[in-house]
Amino acid sequence: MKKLLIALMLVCMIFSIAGCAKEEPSPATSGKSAGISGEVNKQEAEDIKVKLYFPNNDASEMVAVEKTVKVTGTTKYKAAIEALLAGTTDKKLTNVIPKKTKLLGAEVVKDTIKLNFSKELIDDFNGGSTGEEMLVGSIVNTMTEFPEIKKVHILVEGKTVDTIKGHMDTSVPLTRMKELLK
Amino acid sequence: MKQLIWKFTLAALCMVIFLAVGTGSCQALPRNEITSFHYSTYKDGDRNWLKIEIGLDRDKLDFEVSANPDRQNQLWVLMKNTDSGDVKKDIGLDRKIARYMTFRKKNKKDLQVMVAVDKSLDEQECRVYLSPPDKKIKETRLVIEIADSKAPEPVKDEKTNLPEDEILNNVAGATIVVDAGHGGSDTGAIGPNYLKEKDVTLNIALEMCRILKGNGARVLMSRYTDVDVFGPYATDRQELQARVDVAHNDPLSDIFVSIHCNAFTSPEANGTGTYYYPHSYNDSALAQFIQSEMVQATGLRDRGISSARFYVLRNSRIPAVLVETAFISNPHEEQMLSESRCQHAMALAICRGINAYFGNRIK
Repeated sequence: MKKLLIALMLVCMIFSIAGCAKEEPSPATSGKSAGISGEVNKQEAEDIKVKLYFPNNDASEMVAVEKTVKVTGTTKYKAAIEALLAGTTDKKLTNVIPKKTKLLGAEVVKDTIKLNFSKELIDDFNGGSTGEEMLVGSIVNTMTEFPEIKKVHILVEGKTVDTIKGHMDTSVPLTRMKELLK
Repeated sequence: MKQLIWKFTLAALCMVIFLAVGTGSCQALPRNEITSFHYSTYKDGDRNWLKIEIGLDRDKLDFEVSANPDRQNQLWVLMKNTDSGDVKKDIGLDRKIARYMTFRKKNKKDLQVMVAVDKSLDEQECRVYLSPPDKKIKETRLVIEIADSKAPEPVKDEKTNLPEDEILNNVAGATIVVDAGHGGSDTGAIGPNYLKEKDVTLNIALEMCRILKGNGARVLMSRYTDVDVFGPYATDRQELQARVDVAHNDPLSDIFVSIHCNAFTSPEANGTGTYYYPHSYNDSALAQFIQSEMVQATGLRDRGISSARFYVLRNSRIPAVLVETAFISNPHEEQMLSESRCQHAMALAICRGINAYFGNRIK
């Protein structure tokens, strides 16, 4: 009987101490990269269809343009952005991304793609709320056409940027900008 | 029988250990607790004062005073690291100077005191301070004093100097933050004929300042000249936050209005638009009132109001809008934006929108 009571008391003490112990941070959710899930293993060229988003000339809406791009030893994401940077010849649409901008890299982590652009993305851009929305929107909406991509983080020269030209907060990954589509 | 006593002793021991561990080591920080509550009224010349005294068991207290951004008659005092003790959660006051007050838990550790004054914080004077123990009362008290009116100021009726079309009836006493977009090292967008956005936004903001002050509003400007708001060599975030802070640093700030010129890669894009971030109904309401006046005054194409993830809007704690007056990248609108007549018309239209907001907003 005594032994049982002592055991009970011990359990009680352990409980009371455990109940008080500072809450341990839950084990960090593994931040490991989903890696190059978009990498194409085959070396031979593969044609895929992508949807690229361009604003119309009066910047009242974004229009999807379908294009077939070749994916050779590169990811489909890179191929789509390269096609976006190359622009459209449609006279009703505007190439909003500054011409000299280059894509320096693309990396997928879980559902987020990090796109690293050259400095011309900001330096050669004139600004304006609408301009900024359309610039960011064309990139974000083109990428989120891939169902596995939910967010886009824009980097310039490898660094997070607070804003493109003083309006949008681009320091965080952005979700699809549906408001720009009609 | 002996065994029963033994059992009891053990159980008691368990409880004691549990309590000691449970309350002692978990709460290492000494907390303040309210020990008494008392209010009284007194007269000071023509003004009546309500004095609320909240007794504390410690002689130090961190507290923050602010105004509820959505309700003009609510004063907030955040008592850090404080428990409410036995004090009632809701207390009726004299009902002439202030109606009632509430104590609510905030951020787990803190206590939020809300005092609903009779009219509004703009019309009544408030002061909050710590009072040390004295001969009569042996404890430190947090004192909140509220008067039924503002200290009388020499009356300056500047309205009479304003042209009739500039007279606005709802802005007197309001605190309006006007942010002239860009400035200093940041030109903003540049038009095809080299007009700079930062110069246009400053002119419009200064004109708004004149009209609003003339109508008795308090105006806080992010800049009065062609300068960076944070200072030179700032990061973009520091610069934008400095604009948001103009409002944050003044608890009476009612609304934040940022003035910009729009731009797009194609010169075709045109029109006027207003942006907001949907913190509350008041954000879109303010945007719509300004947008309607802008369209009417300028005859520009109505691009409507839109919600957007803009830094100065998202980070604002009060209703905030960003007005994209017209497209500086469109040659025709660039010409308009350069004319002082048009800058005046836009400034007046925005002020009218603000006036309509204060006349109609949900309090």
